[in-house]
Amino acid sequence: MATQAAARGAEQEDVIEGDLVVRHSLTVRVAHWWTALFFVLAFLSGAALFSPRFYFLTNLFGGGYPTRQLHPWFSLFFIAGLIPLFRNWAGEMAWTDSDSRWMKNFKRYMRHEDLPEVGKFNAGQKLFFWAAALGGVVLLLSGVVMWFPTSFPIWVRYLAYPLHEILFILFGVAIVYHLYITLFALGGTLRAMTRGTVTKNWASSHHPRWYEEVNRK
Amino acid sequence: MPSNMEIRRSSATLAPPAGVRETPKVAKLIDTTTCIGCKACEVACQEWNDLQAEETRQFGTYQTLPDLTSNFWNMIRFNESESDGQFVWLMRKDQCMHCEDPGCLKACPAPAAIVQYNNGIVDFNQANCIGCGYCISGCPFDIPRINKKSGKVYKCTLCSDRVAVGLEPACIKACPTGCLQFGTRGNLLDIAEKRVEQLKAQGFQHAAVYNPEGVGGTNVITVLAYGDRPELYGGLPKNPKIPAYVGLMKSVMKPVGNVLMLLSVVGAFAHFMRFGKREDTE
Repeated sequence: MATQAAARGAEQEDVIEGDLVVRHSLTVRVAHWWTALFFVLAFLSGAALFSPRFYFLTNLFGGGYPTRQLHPWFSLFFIAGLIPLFRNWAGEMAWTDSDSRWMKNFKRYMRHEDLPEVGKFNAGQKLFFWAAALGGVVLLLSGVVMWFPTSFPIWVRYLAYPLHEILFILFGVAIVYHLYITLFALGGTLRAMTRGTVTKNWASSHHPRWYEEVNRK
Repeated sequence: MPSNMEIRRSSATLAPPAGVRETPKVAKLIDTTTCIGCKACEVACQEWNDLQAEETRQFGTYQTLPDLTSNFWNMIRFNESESDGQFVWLMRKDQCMHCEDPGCLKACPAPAAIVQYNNGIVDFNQANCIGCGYCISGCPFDIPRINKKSGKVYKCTLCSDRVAVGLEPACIKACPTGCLQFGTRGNLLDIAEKRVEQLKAQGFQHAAVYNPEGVGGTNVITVLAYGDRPELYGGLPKNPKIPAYVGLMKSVMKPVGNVLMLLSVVGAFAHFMRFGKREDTE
C-alpha cells in the first residue's frame, strides 16, 4: 500500500514503482483534468451556439444569454490548462522516423496489434497533441475577436467566425476518438491519467521502447 | 415586438413558421432629394420608442451624432461632396433597411431573437437576444448596435408596434416635406420610379432607386439623385451582400459539422463492434 500511495503522488515520471510504471505525474494529471473539465464546458456551451439543434444545451448554463457570457470564460480556463500540458509534453512529442513508420502501420494499430517501435507516445498521440496545441491557439485568437466583435475590423471578424467553427468541428471529432480510445478501445489506458501508473505488461505491449528506457534507468 | 403580426422567418429555428396568411408587404420610401435635414424623424423616433437622448456634440457637421447607437436608431447623415464641379449637400436617412434577405437574421444563433414578419419588417426580440453580436457582423449596412447596459442589440423596428395596429411609423408621421412615405411595397416602388423619371428630366441623369438585389431588395426604398454613387450618401454600399461566411456557416459548415461529429461516433462504435476492447493482463 505504501508503494501505491507513493506512485499516486509521484512527480517523477518514467520510473518503476513496485509492479507499476509511473506514466503521468500528479501535476500533469491535475492539469489534464482541469483542461478536460473546461473543455467539456466550453464545448457544450459552444455547441449550443453552433447549431440550433444543440441550442437546448443553453439550459445547462441558465439560458442563452448566460451561455454566451460563460463560454469565453470556460474557454480561457481551458486554454490555461493547455499551457502546462504543452510545457510538459512538447519535448517528448517531437516527430521521429519511427512515427512516420507507425503512421504507415496505422491499420495494424486499428487491429490492436503490437507495434514494436513505440516510445512514450505513439504517432497518433503526437498528432493529437500538436493539433490540440495549434487548434487551441486558433480558437483563442478567433474567440477573442468573437468575444469583442466591435473592437475588431470587419474583415478580421469575417475570418474569425468561420475559423472558430471549423476548429469546433475538428475538436468535436477529435474528442470522440480521444474518449473512445481510453474509455472503450484500450484497456488499462485510462488509469494512466487517473492513478498515474500503468502495469508493466501494459507498458511493454503498448509502448515497448518507453518500457525499455524506463528499465535502463 | 408585437404578437399580432405573423412571422415569415425566424432566426435559428428548425420548425417552419406558423403563418399562413397572405399579407401585403409594407415599405418605407425615403426620397433624399426632398429631405431638408430637419431631423423631425429623428425626434419622432426617439419619442415614440421612448429612447433616452444621447448627448450630442459638435463635430463640424449638422449631423446629430457621428454614428447610430443602441438608443438612436434613425439618423440623417449629412455629406458634402461635388458633382460636375458643383457643390452638393446630401442628406440621407440612415436606419435599418429591412432587407428581404436579412444578414442579421441569418447570422443569429438564438432562436427567434430576430424575426421577419409576413409584411417584410425585420424585428429584434430582445427577450431572446443573447448578446453575441453575430447580427452586427452579418449586416451589410452596419446597423445593429449593442447596448452596454442590457448587453442586447437594438435597431429600427419600422415601428412594428404601430404598423401592427394600422398606424404608419413615427418618422413618417413627423416628416414635413413628404420625403418619407409609408405604404405597400409595390405602390412605393412605382412612386419611386416616377420620382426618378422626374429627376432625370430635371438633369439628374444618374438618379436611381436604391433597392439593392444583393439582399433581395430592401423594404426601405431610397431615391438617390446620384444613384450611380450611393457611397456619397454617408457610405451607402453600392452592391451590399450578406457576407459570404454567413451563408457558408449556415448552409455548409453547420450541417456538415453535425454530420461529421455524428459519423465519428458511428465510426468509433463500428470499430468497437469489429475489434472490441484490447485487454491487457494486469
